[in-house]
Amino acid sequence: MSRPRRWHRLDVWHRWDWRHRLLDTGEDPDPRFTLANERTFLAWIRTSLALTAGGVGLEAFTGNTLPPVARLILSIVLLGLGTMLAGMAFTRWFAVERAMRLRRQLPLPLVAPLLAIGVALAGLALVWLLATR
Amino acid sequence: MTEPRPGRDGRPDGPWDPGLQPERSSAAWSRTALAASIVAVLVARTAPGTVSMVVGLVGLAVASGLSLLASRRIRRVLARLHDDAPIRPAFTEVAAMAGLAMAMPAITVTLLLLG
Repeated sequence: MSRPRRWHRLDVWHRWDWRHRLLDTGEDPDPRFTLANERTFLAWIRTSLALTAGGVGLEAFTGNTLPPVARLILSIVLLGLGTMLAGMAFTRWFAVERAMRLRRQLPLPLVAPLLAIGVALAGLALVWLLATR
Repeated sequence: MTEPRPGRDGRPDGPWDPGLQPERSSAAWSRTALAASIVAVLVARTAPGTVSMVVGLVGLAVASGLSLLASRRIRRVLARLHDDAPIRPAFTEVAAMAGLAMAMPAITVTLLLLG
């Protein structure tokens, strides 16, 4: 199977084009796997967006239900997690695509347990704050 | 995993993929772009100020643009698949979506800490 490689003509551009770190290695995987990897990336992005929505919502819509400092800290934690997760989604998408091209084992989703613990802790903190106010 | 049966002029005879991968991917892109739009609106409301309003509006525009880009890509993907050709990973769309999902919370944190 051959792929059109028009951009190869421009050598200088080629060196700076990060996409080649992927396309120049291994061989094209089954298109279905590329699409599945894309959807997994999008699922992580939606998780990140949900955390962002949580952080923004906490700050903008809870009014005086929470002590201001606690509210600020919780939002910052959620927004920080959201940023981190979106970055992770991208690097993981790239690493998985690369592993598929090289027919290597897929990298483990190391962030999944961290995220589970983080979300559980944030939820418990919220419960505690609301119960003791 | 069954390979598509070759039909006339080498093209798959019948549905290319009973798993409906392109359709599911297309729906996933729309869903994510929609979620990003909602988050952008929320970000615009975080702090009543010009910066968060601008961030929200830019986010909204990028999310809408990505929705269009992704739907165009899926149409291209379908055409390539029917020609039994390999597809390219969606570099631009993936990078832009990740950038959007990173920028919105990062800027909001900055605004919260400054405000």
